[in-house]
Amino acid sequence: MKGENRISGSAQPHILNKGEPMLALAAIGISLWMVFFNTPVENQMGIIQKIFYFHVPAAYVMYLSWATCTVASVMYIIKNTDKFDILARSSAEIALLFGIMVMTTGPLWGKKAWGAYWVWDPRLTSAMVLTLIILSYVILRHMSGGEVIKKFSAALSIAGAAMIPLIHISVKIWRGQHPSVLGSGGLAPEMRQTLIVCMTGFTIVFIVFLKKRYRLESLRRRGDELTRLYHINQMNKQ
Amino acid sequence: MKFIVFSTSLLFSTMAMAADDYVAVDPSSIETISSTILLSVSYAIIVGLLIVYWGYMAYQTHKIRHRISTLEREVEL
Repeated sequence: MKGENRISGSAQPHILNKGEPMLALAAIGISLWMVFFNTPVENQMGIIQKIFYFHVPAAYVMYLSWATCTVASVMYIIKNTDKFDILARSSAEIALLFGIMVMTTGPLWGKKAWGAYWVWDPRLTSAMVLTLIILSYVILRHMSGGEVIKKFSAALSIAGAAMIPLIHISVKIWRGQHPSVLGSGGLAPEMRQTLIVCMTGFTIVFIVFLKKRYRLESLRRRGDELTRLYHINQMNKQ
Repeated sequence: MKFIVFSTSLLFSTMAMAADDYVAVDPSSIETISSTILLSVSYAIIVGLLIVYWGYMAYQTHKIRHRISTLEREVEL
């Protein structure tokens, strides 16, 4: 019993983990430097266009996180393994974090571009719906850790994944006001270069955050398991 | 918290003004100043959220590690 209950050092901080925050910090630092000191100001919109370099990568990481959550949810339903559920929960929380970034920086840019913080544009509306679905998922997971909730939230994640392609093609289908710069070749080479650096930086941040969140969730479950064992031991003693 | 938000906004404003590109956009115009404020707020929100979330995860990890160590000892006893 004694040996089984030991957590074999998983509760101890690993020396390599200390480098991860530095990596994320460097990625953001380089991205900021590129945006403010290495990219020209756009002619029509002026300096406010620089929101674009963090707004677009934030949206991309939101998609990436939610796609990870969906894949992990599918794997959880098929294999019924806890590690996939941990991955799904962790990536959903990160998707919400980046979703909040998108939904706050977008209106700030919109105020200058359209003269209003919010317009019922197809892309804005579909992005808001996805953020609300992610929020529902995160709230659901905080309510309970039961098997039914795990399966239900996995299904919610799969349903929500349909929003990702919808957001992407919404500009083309419904012809909204939101610009579609990516893939249209409308970016100057320096701007494209900065965008690529920011995208890479945000991807690094996503990986580092996901690792950290996954570790936290694993430890949480280990803690719950030990609490359960502790209560059983107490009952046996009585 | 207010201090962090203020100083981050100030940092980004300074960075935006320090950039050579800024000068080319006519710094005297109110339009440019308001754009700079909106830009600073956007970047402050993004970087601020990243810092706060990282801090939350670090704090929770520390707390749970402490709880696990205590529980381990209790269960072994």
